[in-house]
Amino acid sequence: MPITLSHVSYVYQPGTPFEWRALDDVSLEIPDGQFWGIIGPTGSGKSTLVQHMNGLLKPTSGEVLVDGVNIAQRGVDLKQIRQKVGLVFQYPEHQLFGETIYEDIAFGPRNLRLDPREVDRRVMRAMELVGLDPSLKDRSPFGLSGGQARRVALAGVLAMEPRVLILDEPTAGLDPRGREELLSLIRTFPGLGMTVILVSHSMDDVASLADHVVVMHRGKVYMQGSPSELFRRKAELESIGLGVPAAAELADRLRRCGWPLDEGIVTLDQAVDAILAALGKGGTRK
Amino acid sequence: MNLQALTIGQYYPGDSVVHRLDPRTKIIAILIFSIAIFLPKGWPGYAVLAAACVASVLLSQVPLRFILRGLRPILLLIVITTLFNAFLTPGEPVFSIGSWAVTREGLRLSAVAAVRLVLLVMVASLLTLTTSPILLTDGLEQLLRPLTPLGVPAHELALMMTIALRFIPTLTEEADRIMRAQAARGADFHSGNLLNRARGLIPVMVPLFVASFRRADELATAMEARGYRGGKGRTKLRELRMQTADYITLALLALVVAAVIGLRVTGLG
Repeated sequence: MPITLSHVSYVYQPGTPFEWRALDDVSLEIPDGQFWGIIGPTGSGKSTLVQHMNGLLKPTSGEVLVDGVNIAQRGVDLKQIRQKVGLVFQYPEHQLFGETIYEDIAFGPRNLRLDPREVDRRVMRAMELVGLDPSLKDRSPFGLSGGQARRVALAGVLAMEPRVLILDEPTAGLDPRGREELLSLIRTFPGLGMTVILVSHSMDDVASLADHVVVMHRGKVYMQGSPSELFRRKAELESIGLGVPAAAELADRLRRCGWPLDEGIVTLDQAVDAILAALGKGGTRK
Repeated sequence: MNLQALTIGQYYPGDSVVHRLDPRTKIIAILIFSIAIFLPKGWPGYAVLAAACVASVLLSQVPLRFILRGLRPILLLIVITTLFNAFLTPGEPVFSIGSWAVTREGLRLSAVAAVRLVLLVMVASLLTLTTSPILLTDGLEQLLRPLTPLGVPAHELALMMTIALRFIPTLTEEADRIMRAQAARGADFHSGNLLNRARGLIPVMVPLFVASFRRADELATAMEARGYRGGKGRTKLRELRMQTADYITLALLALVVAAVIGLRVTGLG
């Protein structure tokens, strides 16, 4: 189920002194089954961009096609689009409201008017997917730790069984361990047949997970490509206030000291392998 | 639903003479003007007031459509009062629909009521359009301060207003975000009967309340951490000072009021 954006622009509060062009002529084509990363500094239009993909926002100009359907067309069933394209907002645990965890996760499936047995199946599956113990289902979501609450919110979207899952800054505000756990959870989603779109300003998160990265800057697509392609263009990234992943930075500095390391190292594992290989060759330091 | 448009409230940022006036001047001027609106007995009086009002609007450089937007909510009120006044005032009939007669006195009364309402709302919106909420509360606090010995908690009232105003945009943004998030899970806020719609708001209200309490708690802690102990002995970052323009404004206002009273006394209007 591909998502196509062509020449999409979005203006907040047009015609007032607060007018703000959040997206400016953005064209993207997101094919099925890929893991995409969208990065960019604060205010670069990332969140605005992803809200177009499930029809929460409609472009001021340009076109958004979800599975061939124009989301701005009159009479389009937005509920159906939102079922297909799940969006997990920033700090999704702030949107929990259910008396119990079960009730909260069931909110989405019930809005789809599924029968109670199907709702039940989806809730239990979603809880399992995010690693929540089934015994928690009757607890209140408000007593949970930050990381656990976020899993509940994530399950609430997964229970819609979307084919595209968009995660907006899913690790914001989590401690390093919670972050690591959540990222390894997200890593399993493409295996479930979902297209995953990860919005982040953390290069490290995106580098280790995404097949394709879009860099946003001032509402425009600044560059896009595979992580190793992008992180080779370090100077350009740094000029808009983004860095490269720590492993790429390390490899870059070693290379400048004369280590024979490949270009395009983006993850820690790749860096470790490359450095070991280089040492095996005798650690040719000049 | 576009809550974004509400976010900024009424204020229209600018740097006109009217924007730069001391908020106290503006508040007092509008109070006096509102009383003056009820003085004239004829059209010349209203013409003077309307001229003053239009002049202030022009000086403020606020686009006319922002002023007119403020009038939209009272349109219905004007229509209803006009109908009531026109039909129910006894007097000389002008024309009639069935057994209902529109009287000359009725038409006059309707027109007067409409003009009063429009002028009142225009000056009131001019105040909120040209004065930032912070300055507005500052001005109110200063004006209420003389009443402190009488038990009016001027500082606390102003603080409450400031906090409330400060958090309106935050809360509308929060509500907007929550509504989007629930809409992303298939919530529908725009269809169904009233009961269903009301029930549909639960997933918005609960997180909104939770967030408000969390914010209130954080704010209280942050204020205490910075040594807030109430209004006593507290100084201001921006002291309000009356400028020449303020005195000129008040003098002009006095002239307008004098003219209106003069017209009334001489029986011209």
